[in-house]
Amino acid sequence: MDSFHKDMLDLLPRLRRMARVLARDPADADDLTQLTLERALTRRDQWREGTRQDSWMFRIMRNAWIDESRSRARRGRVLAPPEAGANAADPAAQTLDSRLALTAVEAALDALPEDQRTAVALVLIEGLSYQEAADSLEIPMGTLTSRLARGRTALQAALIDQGARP
Amino acid sequence: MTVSDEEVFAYVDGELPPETMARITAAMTKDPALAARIQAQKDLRRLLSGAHAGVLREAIPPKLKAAATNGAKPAEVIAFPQPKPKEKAKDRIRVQKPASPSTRPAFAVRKPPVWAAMAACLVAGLAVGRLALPSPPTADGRAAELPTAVGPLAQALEDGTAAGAASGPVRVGVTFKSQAGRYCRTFQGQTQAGVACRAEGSWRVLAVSPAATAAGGQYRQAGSETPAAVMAVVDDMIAGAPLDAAGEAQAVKAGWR
Repeated sequence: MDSFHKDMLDLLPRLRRMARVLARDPADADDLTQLTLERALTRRDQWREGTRQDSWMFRIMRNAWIDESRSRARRGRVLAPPEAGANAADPAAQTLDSRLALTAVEAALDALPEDQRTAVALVLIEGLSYQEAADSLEIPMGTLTSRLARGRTALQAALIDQGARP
Repeated sequence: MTVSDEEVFAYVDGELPPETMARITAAMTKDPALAARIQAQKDLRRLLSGAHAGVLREAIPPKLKAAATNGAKPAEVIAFPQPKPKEKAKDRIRVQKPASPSTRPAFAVRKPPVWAAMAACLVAGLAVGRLALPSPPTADGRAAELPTAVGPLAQALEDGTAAGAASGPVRVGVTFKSQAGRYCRTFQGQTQAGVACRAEGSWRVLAVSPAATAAGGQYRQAGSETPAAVMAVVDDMIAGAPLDAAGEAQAVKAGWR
């Protein structure tokens, strides 16, 4: 196994975490992770040695998620609001349990609009720099910092609402 | 000095030029309100850094490990999803209503046929002749995606021992009990290796990988010949230690019951 594959294996826990933030539903998140791994392998020649593999893979994941969301939209799916959960039609006990087990901060994060949620996750959970996060999302720095600011403000308000003062 | 919210965020994120960072650090000592705003953001940052940390501690699903090592030298593994009791009903629904507006139509509908097709191709290509039959979806949707070993593969899995002479085209490697309490064995054919588990009287192939071929086409000793990717699948499934020769012989004699 070469270092590309090894690094990808090492990144798996973080890729799954990022997928959890994007997809919210654990099963969807693992499907998204799998799609990301498959795409990363087919686009391996686009990976530049010496650049961060995590940022590169987060970008692939983000694009895979956009493609996935579009294909769902084409199928006429109306996106469920976060309160209904991503599992509105899948009331399996296990999934409900996993929703209930979310911490206050995870629930507040899940309730953010997707663009803010992604910016917050890349910088504040994954620890990417502003530049790396902006590159991953293929957006200008100013757009990233404004999404980050709106996300933070909303999180702060939500957490204070719940009495879980950060 | 006036410090905007954006500057507070960037300060906490360490994204300001060093001189601005220093200026704000100095201002905090004289401005309790500013210090409180910064502290609140530091707290939020710390809280967020632990969000979904539970995912990091979870065992990685074998299918993802397999996907990450797919194409890696010296071997690649195709791991078939193991049917779990709670998924049976869902699987059946997917098969019957592929166009139903479920919450994850694109993933759920697209994937099983792909896996099933791969299983069929790979298994048909195993060493000499047909070694396993892809199992058709049963009425209750059970084991819809796991191929059943037949012919020499089934025979080796059923009666073979790791130490025994390689009388057929397939050798068995490690024998172990899975976390679900099933007997499982790794096997090695001329071109493919894999893992199979005993379920309801037959052997189901869970994963296959190109075999690690020995120089001169000779079989190597059990264990050393098993591709690393197959061993990774074993590591995910195994409960306790592999069976020793005596345990293996006893299980064969008892017909894997």
